[in-house]
Amino acid sequence: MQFLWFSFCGVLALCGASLQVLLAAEPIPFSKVAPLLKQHCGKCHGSDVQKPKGDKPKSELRIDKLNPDLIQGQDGEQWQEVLNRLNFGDMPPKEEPQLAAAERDLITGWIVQEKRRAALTKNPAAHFRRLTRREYERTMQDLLGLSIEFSSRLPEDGRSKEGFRNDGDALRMSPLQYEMYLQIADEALAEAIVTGPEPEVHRYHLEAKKRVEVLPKLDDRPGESYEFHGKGKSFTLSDDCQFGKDKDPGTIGVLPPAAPKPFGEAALSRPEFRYGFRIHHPFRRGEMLIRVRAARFDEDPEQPSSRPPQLAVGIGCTNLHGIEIKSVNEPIVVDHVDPQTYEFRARLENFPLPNPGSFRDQNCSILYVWNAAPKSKDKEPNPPKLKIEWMEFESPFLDQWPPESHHRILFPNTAGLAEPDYAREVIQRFATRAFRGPIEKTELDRLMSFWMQARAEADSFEASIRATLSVVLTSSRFLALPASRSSGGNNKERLNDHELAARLSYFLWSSLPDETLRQLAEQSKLHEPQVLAEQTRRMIKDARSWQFIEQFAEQWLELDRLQRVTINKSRYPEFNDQLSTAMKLETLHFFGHVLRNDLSILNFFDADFTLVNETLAQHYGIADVQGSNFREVMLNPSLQRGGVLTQASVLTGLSDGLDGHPIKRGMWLLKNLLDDPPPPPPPNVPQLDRDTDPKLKGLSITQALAVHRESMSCSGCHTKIDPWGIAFEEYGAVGNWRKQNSSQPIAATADFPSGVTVNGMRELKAELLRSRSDDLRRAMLRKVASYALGRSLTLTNVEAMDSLLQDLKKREDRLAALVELVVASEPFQTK
Amino acid sequence: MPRPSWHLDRRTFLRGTGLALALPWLDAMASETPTANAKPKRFCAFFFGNGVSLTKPTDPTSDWNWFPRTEGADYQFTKSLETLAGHKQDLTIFGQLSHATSRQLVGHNTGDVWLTGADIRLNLNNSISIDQLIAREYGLHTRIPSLVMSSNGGTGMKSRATTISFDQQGRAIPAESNPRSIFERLFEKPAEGDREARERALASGRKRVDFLLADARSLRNRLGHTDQQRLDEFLSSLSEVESRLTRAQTWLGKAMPEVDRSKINLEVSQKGPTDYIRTMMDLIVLAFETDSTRVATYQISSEDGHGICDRFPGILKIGNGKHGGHHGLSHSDPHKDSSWGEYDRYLAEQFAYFLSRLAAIREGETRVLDRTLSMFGSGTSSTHNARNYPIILAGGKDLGLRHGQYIKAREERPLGDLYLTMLHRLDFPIRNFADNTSEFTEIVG
Repeated sequence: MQFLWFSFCGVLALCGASLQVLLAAEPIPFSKVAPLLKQHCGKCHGSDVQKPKGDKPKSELRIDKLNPDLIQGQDGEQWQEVLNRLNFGDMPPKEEPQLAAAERDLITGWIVQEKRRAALTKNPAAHFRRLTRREYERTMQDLLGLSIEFSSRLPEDGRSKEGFRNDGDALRMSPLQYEMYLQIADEALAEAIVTGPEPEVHRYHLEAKKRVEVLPKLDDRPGESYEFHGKGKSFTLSDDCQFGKDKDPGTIGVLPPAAPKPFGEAALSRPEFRYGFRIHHPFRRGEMLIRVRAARFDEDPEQPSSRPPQLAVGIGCTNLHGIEIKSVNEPIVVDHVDPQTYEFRARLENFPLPNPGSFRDQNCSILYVWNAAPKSKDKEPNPPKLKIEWMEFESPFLDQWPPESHHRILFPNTAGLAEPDYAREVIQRFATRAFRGPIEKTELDRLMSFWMQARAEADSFEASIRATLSVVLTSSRFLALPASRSSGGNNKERLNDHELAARLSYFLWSSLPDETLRQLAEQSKLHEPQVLAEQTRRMIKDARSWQFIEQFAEQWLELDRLQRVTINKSRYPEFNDQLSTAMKLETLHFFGHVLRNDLSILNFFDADFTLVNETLAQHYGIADVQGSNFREVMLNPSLQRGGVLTQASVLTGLSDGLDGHPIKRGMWLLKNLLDDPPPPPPPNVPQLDRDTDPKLKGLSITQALAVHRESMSCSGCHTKIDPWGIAFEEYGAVGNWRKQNSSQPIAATADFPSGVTVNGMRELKAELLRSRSDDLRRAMLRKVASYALGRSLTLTNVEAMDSLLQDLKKREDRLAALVELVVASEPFQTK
Repeated sequence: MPRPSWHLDRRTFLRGTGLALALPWLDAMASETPTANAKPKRFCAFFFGNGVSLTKPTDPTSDWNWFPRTEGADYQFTKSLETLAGHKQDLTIFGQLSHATSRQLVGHNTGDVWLTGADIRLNLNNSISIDQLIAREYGLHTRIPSLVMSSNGGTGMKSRATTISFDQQGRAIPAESNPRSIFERLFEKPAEGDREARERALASGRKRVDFLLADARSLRNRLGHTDQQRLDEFLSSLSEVESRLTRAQTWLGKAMPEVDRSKINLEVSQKGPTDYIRTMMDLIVLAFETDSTRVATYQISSEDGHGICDRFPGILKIGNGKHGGHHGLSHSDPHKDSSWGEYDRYLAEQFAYFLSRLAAIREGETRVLDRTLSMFGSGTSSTHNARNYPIILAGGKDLGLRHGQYIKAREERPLGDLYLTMLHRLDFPIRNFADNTSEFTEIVG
């Protein structure tokens, strides 16, 4: 029988042409692979299998019959098996002539290349997708004008292969989840549209060691004050202050540095020193206004502390076991000795709430103030101290009644419309915003008939509106994108201006289009290239683009790894949640800085600046940075930092908690920055283990990797992965630069298959800039596009993105320009 | 309920479940529904990820092999499972079982298909899990069809799901992880206690869902094929919500079970694993005891190093935290280091706690344990190895199960065999489930 693999060569040579744009290296044609397969596998897996009659064939796998077209063909899994066997090194069998390394690479390279192409081709170009948790939350907040964390009850969204959480393929819907949407909509509308008289308002004033006072109602505020004293009041308040250790009770109102830290079995936390309330009848909803009068305090003004205290406020709850607390604000540096009043507002729905229950038990809400100045590692003779004169709270805080959210929906009926006409107008305005585009008359009619039924049954007009709007907020037109209906399944159909506005605003803001975008869409101007580019720039500069920055950077660079690593505390005692948070924020701020300041994406490879706060500056050894806010600092070369490769967030996430992990780091670089992911390891591959494998015992990680690479089964992939990871060896498990500290010199020299040798991170970055800049450009174009579209790219999409490479170069590789290019591209503007 | 026109999704369903699951059970069950009056039978499953410590008899850690060293009734518990010794006559340990189509996969994928047996080699379309198959019927007789719980909550990502339950379309069912809200869903009266208000609310809920269904169907006509499939998830979800509302209406007349809240500790979090896992188990016991549901799954820890449950061994100071999380532990060397085995023992101890609780509750003369099938195990044996699942089946003596053995099955026997036998014990007259090729008669009789 003729070998089938030859008959397909012609077809594949044609496919090869479009591959060039997909892969950095020259694509491997099947014509180079087929003779090798015949020569080395044909004996047992081909047509010339020698088998005496009645004997079993040597193998059921007939490689000669496998279809080398992985896109149209059905043999992908068998090819995977071929790949696994080759990678694993048990084929060809030991007694047979072996493949040369280059030959093996050719076959495995071809399979990997074709599998990837097939995967891209099979990606469905679907557009209908559920809003992510974040998008749902932001949309609800913008639509209703309520800053409630609506998504906290919703399950975590899935992730795509690329790691993005807004991929329609991974955004599922379930009955339970739908029930949650129904509930959340009801609760949100009950909060937004009110009925009835002004509620009672609780206003209290606390000075340490004094009885809590009730504050009188202010003239410009609705709601009578509630008096908790006296008979029949199911309500108590007490203070909960701690100014020093039990032996040394401290000065009243003066707080040494403290951070919420776990205590006891329940693993809940509270700040050791604090000023605050216990509220034995928790408020569960609405906004709380908190006022704190605070100053810096130095016992001896002649010898002030070298650093100022920081004011933090938190709300939480407590029970018999412990305390759960969540900060209201980022700590504020308090560097004045004259007391000043600070105001904070917080939606109670967003904070830990205690169990309902009798107010006699320990269940209660808490409101704490503490001094969040980082604690010094050494015994500090003169730590920064925070003096609190008093604190007050008001709950619920209302600046008007009904609240603004109410008027936003039930606008003043100045035209004196009859109730049904007014209702129609209210519903139409709301639905038009919620559905991110005009609502058809038939749809409005349907909603109106729903309203009329609701009106007949409801106690009030407001209730009937709530019922109707709750339908809008749970419609698939609201919960999914795009809400606008298209005429059919034509893939090249252009988005209309409203759809374009929505795609743009969900891309950059994770929420509804704002008034400007809506108007431009209404005037059918948004699609004009200049208008669109201008709007994109405006949106990037707008604070709301933090949504894009935070989610894209986190998901692209896999920053969530940071939370999954358990850092060895005895090796790295300095590591804590605060540092971990600061690490992550550095990368987000860095990405944001590059985006908003029109900087080049090559800064991700290497940069002479970064953004740090006090905690991270201490970790990096950068002096003179105080406070929790992030600011730009220039990087002295001796710091050994610059670009995302050397950021602690990335390095820590890619460690095993004890040591850096060169394979993970190399993989990460290939996958995310170069979009050149190596194939996954075959099954049953043991982890490289220097403790248990006798061959590896006593070797350094670099030596062990070298041994590992010598094994045929691993070498195919690992000669491509390991070199990228070895240079990272200069950095430890928490991203600490360790070259100079170590007693043994760090081996960070790697030989690339290309023949280049790289010693250490500095040379690696230079090599990346020299030879892999185009890969970074392509990687970022593809990944930003994938995020912008909310789906995996198709082969056509990838080609469209790759074709933007020269344009990007012309625009000095600026990240903001890259975003503009993606927005202007055909995939972004079509269905 | 009339079958909605979009319910053509049986196709999708069939594609997802592969060839093994023929339709007969759907029809068969409609006619042979277990009656509400019979004494309840129950099912629950506990899953942990990342496999177990396996050692050689010559290892210094030889006592830390999860599986017993000898087969049959005279087996000795190793240290890994010793904490279950008190329940020996109420349980069977199985060796060599696995799902046929996932043996080649990296073991971490098996959490998704542990209860489903779906073939996910070509795509990640999963199929219905055994608990949901049971809940479809048993759920008609209880206030809540099933409890789906995990320490991480939600669904997680495909192939590393943080739930072990999948609905009839093979979609991951988000797991609940907050004991307080599970308790409230089970036992707390809704805020409007008064029945009329509740009735009105349910009726208006029905109206709303009907409206939304009509709305989504009208949208469906304007979508392309792939988009339609996604919208279908909305439609089937809404339809399920509708039928739940209908069921809730029928439950209205019946009183909520009285449960003494002080008997359960809801003040727990994943940061204190022992209290948390036991409270989740207590919730299942309470739900069974009050017949609020008859089906429950709990993923104690997920596969791979994901989520809060990965940190349990570290929080518990197993191996002094030197191996990192649970996943790190699974990459330690059990031949020299007993840490992994110590965590196995810990997990088994939690299961033993659950069995003791079930054994302590009686329904008439019978222990609830004897009318409940309780599964405990993982979808990998050693690191990344999707063969030889560690599996324990406990309880169900009153349902015709015979326990007390370690059964080392023939190599690579499909786990589906055991599932089919379990389903038969629970009165599901079906011929095939998951990847079964035969029945597991060794434990019947």
